[in-house]
Amino acid sequence: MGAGEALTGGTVSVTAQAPALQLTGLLKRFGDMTAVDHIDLTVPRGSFFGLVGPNGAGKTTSLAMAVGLLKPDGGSAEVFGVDVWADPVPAKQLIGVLPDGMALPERLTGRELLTYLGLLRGLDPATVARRAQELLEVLELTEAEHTMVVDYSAGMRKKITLATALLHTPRLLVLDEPFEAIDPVSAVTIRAILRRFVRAGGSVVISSHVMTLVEQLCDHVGVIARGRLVASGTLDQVRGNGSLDEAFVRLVGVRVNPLDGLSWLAS
Amino acid sequence: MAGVLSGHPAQTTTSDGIWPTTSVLIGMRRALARNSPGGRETVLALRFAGLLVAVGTLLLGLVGPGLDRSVDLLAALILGWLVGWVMGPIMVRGAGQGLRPEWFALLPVPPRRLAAGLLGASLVGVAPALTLVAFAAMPVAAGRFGMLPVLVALPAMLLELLVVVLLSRVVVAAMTGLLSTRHGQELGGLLFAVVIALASGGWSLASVMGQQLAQGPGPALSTTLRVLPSGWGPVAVGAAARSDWLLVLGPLFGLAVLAGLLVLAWAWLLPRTMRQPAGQAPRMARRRTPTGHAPRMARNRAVTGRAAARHRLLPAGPTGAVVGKELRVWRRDPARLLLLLLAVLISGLNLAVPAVIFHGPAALPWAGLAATLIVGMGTANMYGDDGTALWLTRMTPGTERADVRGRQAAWLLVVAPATVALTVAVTALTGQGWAWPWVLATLPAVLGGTAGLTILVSATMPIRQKDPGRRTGPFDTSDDPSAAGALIGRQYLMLLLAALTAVPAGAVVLAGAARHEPILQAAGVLAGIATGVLLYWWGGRIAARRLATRGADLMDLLNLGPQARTRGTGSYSGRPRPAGERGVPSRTGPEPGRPLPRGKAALRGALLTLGILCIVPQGLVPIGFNLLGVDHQVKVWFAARYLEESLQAPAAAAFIVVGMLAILFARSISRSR
Repeated sequence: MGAGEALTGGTVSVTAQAPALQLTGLLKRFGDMTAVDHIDLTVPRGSFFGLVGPNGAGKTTSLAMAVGLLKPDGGSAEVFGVDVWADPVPAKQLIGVLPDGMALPERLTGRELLTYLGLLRGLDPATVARRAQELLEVLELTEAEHTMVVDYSAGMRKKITLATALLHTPRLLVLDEPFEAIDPVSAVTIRAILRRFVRAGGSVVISSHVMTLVEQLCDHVGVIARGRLVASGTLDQVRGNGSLDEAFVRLVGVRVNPLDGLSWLAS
Repeated sequence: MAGVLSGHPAQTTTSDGIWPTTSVLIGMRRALARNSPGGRETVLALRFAGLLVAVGTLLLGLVGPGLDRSVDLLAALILGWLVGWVMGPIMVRGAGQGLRPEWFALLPVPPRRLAAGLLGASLVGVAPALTLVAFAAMPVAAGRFGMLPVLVALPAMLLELLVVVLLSRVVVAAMTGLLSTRHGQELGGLLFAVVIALASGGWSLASVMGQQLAQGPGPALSTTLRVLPSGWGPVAVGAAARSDWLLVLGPLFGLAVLAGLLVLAWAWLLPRTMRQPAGQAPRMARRRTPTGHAPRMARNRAVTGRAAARHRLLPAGPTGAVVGKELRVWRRDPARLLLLLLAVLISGLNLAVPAVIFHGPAALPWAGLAATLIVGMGTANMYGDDGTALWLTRMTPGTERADVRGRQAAWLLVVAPATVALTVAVTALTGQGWAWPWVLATLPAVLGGTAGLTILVSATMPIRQKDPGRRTGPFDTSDDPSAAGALIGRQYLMLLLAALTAVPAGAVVLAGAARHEPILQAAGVLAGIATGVLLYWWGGRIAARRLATRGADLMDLLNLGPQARTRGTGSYSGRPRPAGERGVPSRTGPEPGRPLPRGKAALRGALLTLGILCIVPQGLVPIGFNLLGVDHQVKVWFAARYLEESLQAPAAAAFIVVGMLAILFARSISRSR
């Protein structure tokens, strides 16, 4: 596998009709705990897919395995028909990833980080400079031009990582909790960017706990609970007649009656 | 859950007095110690070592021949413990199970009660108990001089313990405050570097002190030992033996006053550390510019335009990008700057102090080589030190080779010019002409070899460290003591490997010197360059291949820790990850830790301690001393050096064999679980 070939991008054989992301029997165990329990999931091309689930349900683990950042114990993940684990080089050219809570080269400024990653991906310096400038402007990171990533706030960190995910014009974006810690103004911007990306034919997968956000943005939804996919389909298929909130509670199950206990709180 | 919450509604308000607060805090500290991940064996090993040292101190307290000598000896021993108490928390910051005051910032507990409670909790535990055992040397030694000295020695012992523990708390609190600002971090790093360098060069000082104590200390040493607070207790005991009651009460009173002052200092520092928790200090305010200097900021604005121009100096493409990133990191990351400083200080002091004390400048030309080895030790975990940042390389496929070669090139660009200049300057200035063939042959081998081997070790056996964005300072790299221990092991492995790279070139020069053939000596330089180039190329090649083929395992390891590899086989113990762990690991699930049974863990810890003690200080160090021709008076605690000269090398070799057996045995215990 020549590095040059991988870096020039472009010529990746993509199966004509394969879905943007296809997870088949994905499995991950930590000791005796099964974090992801044989998940099958299809993200159609051009869809804006929302993955929802309670804390610890396995969303982050599933997405990390889907993009090649965490080795699955079983099953497969395919991006446009390319197996992420068997054929990682072409697969990873197709995806842009915003992982949750991964480290960055902390002692670079935002622009330096984007420049470094762009050159590392084999983009020519002029393109890198132009795209970095645009991304920093759109994501309102130009004011922090001279701040190193180590000094970024949680929201800025999210935004610069999102910029690294967009830099190489991927065809599928996999974003883990993209709106967490983001201020409302930036959230509007990011939503607009993502919507435009989908309109132009791109596909997006986001994970979130915020149902209203998923309802507003996504056209497809998958619900994960206790490591299993309990529902998946278009937004209307999953939520039926009620709201997504109600569907979510019905699917995940009410674990504790909120009116039991805590009686002393109001006394 | 609800039952727990509603069952004891009064829990949060009962701790009214100082004692309830203290007992809750003691319980909390015990729970923290219990839950510290994978640290059990390390903790047990440390306790075992501590017990040995404590009992050793106690026994040493008995050997002082006369009254004055006993007082000096006791004062020296207590000083040693005091230094340990002060240095320990600084050196293993974050690795201990201490209670951090900032955790309690939101509790409605009066600060003074919290201060008292935290102090009380720090006086209860294994370490104070061991210290008490050691300090019992005072009453035990006093027993030889009568009943009254023993009665004085008992309060003296307790007061010394109090002072030592309090001093340790005050230093930690002061350091916490210091480390919460950028300048404080830099200052703290500098202090740390100096202290480490002094400690590493301190063996020669310790050996002088040990000789003096054995032969009867000189007046200067004796006075110093007695003037320091660690000597006040022994002075009081000695005075009691002479019935000099003024000199009994004075030091005891002094210790009590000192303890009081330390309590006040701590109560003053406590709210400050709580207000500015090191991990959560306002970051934007802390550091605004890449370098922290305003002029640089102005310059940086212009630099943005020049960035492309600067990149042209580097090879175009991915490798150049990595070199550019790495060079910036070397310049900006305090941890890396500190490493360079440490390398210079440690190599300088370790070679210069003996050169002065024992009048042997012969070691000085090796300063550059030693500095290279130390930088190599510090960069033996390059991928681990970046936290989980490997994900970027993982998501940019095909760039593994560029990443490895770029890191190697940047390493060499940073280290080589300085060490070559240092070597040439020192060798020329000290007039050690004989050294030229040696240093010129070995330096290229070690430079190239270390640049190749650090990346190889980093890529093949990384150790998971805290993500750099979450560190509170250059040393806050892990909350897991076993990772800290593993890192030290890796660093010594790196030292050994890097030192071995000098062997081929050294052998050629040695052959040339033995046969008096200058041409053969000169050929050593060629051998050195060949070794360096070959290892640079080979190490990088293996590392790149490893990153490309085993990158997923590496990512898992950096992400989840070593336990991730035992997936599906271990029994899940259900322990939560340590507090403060953010990100994927805590979300993907707790790691399966499976501790050894207590007895086996203790045995394993003891064996590992024994093994390291036998191999390094009792085996390698005496051999190194003999090779370097260190003065035979330098014996300290190196057992082999007390033997007849012809027996020293075999004895040291025997120690190494015993040490290796102990470590092998320890490994077989952990495998048999």
